[in-house]
Amino acid sequence: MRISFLRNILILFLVIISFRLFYWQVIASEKLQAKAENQHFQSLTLQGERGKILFRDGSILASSKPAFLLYALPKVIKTQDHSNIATILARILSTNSVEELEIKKKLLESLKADLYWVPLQRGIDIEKRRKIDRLNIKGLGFDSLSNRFYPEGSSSAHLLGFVGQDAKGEDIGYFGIEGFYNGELKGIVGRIRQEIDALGLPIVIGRLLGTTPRNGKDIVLNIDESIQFIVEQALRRGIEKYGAAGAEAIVMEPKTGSVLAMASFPNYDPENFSEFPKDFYKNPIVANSYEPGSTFKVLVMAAALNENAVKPDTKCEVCSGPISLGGFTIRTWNNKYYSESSMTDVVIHSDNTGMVFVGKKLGLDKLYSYLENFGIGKLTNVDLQDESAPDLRPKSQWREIDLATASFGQGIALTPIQMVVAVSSLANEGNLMEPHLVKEIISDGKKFEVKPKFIREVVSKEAAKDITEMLVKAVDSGEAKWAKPKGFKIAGKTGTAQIPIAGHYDSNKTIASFVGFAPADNPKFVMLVLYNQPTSSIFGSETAAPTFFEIAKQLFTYYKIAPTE
Amino acid sequence: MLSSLYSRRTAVICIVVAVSLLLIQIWVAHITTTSGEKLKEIDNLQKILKSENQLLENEISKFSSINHIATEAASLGLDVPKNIQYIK
Repeated sequence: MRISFLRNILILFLVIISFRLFYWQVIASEKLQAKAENQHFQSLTLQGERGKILFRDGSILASSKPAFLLYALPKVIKTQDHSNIATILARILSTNSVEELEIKKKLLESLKADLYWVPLQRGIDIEKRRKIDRLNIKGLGFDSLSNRFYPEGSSSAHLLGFVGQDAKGEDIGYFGIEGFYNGELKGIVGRIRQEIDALGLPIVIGRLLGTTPRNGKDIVLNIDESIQFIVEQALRRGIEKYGAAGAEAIVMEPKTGSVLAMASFPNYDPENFSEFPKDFYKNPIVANSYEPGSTFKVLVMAAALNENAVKPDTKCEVCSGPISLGGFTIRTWNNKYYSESSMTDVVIHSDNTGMVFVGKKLGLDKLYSYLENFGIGKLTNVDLQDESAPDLRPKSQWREIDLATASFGQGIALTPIQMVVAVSSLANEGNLMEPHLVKEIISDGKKFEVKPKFIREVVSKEAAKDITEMLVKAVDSGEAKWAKPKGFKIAGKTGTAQIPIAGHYDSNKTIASFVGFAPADNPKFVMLVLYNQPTSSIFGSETAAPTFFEIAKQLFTYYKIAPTE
Repeated sequence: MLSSLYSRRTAVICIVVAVSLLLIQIWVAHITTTSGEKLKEIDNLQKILKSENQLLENEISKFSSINHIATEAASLGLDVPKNIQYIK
């Protein structure tokens, strides 16, 4: 009886153990396996480094610098130490006493959180990390991050863009090169699962799963460091000298479309972009449109020469006085009139009435077609994220007065990059090239060259030569001749465009510009200089032109070009 | 008779190889027990050296930047040439 009872108890235990084993081995097996794997394996997310942005000579324009995320393990830190730790850390992390109090308050809140892991501060530099490391506080740790580093400071800010964070807190490029080439620049995240021992150390012969990170590609720009510096310095001086609200300049190689320099002010510091108004982020050279004024006459005259509608010596038949058209009166900029002016004189005097004559000779259909061919109304496809292009009004909506005003650059809008690309085609024997900032992309030691892209022939070689000669004469005899470097053949045109405000033009607020290329016989560069609302003088000939010539003079020395005249 | 001798020999070889591999694995696991720590140390050292290398590279680029050179040149009294003579 007793033996039988004992046997039944044993069987019962056996059944209970079997059920328990069945539960562990079968029912809860997946959950337990996962728990065991979590103990055996450590998951690591490794960020690939963001690629560098380099000048054409290989010097660094944007790179990365090591930075760290300071985190705390609140459950490891004793509650009574919270205040002390927050005080010490705030002292290290702050730059002034006001900031110190704010940081201390935030740190205390984070340390009190009922969490295993809390981030305390991002973007800590290596010096601050070393100071915190020396404190040897248990429950504090660092994760590696990477911040952008700009050795040239705010130089080239608009063409570079900046690196911010997306909604997930991951680095992403905004605006300029950083935005346009974000896919190439950003590294590929690596995720590794590594077998670890009880102390959390890697097991050498253990399993290693996952993928390794890949660094982003390096981007070499066409931007020439020296030319960029020359342009930026000249614009800075110009803004001060002419009391302008802003200034822009772009230098391009006409034969290839390579952008050699691009600068605009006011700009911002890409490393501390959040401290600047958001209005500063967009690159005005590619994102803002303006009425070009007289610089536009270059394109209209080139089109008329190409169509044989006029010749350089064709006499203007309507230049003896103001022209009345559709209820409007068209005058010259200085109210001086030259009857029997040749087309070259029209360009030299920047004669609006002469351009109305040219516009009429050309006709709307042809003018419109040339504007489209010059790229007006379309994106230039420059490799910058923030490019936009104002629409070219549909041809059906053009009235006679619109044709007349467009012929001297009023009532039509374009971006500075569109202007320089269009004029560049005239410096390149009529061939329009796509502008590009990137010279090559380097990935794992391999170089991928960005080749020049020909778009179309806009005007013939002969027409390009004729307009070049007219522009050389405009520089030699025009309003800005006093500022021209002696002995060099420069083709160019000034522009002074009133700014349309609330349906009318404000005569005191202008966009003063100068566009041109040199040496005229074999152009090495084409350049546009533009001042927004200069106050010392409203005219392009007294503001933008001297800056153009100042830059050109330095470029001649830089390129070792000797005077020919 | 001959085939059974071969199969027995094969079985013995297999067992010897398996036992040897097992012993090698135990031996390797034993001698690499403390290597995890070394590996971690090397990994940390690599990270520190990489960071310091990056910092030095950044320092070089900062000092060789054209803005820095221009500032230094100006402080030494150097200026942009005003009159250039061309020899033809």
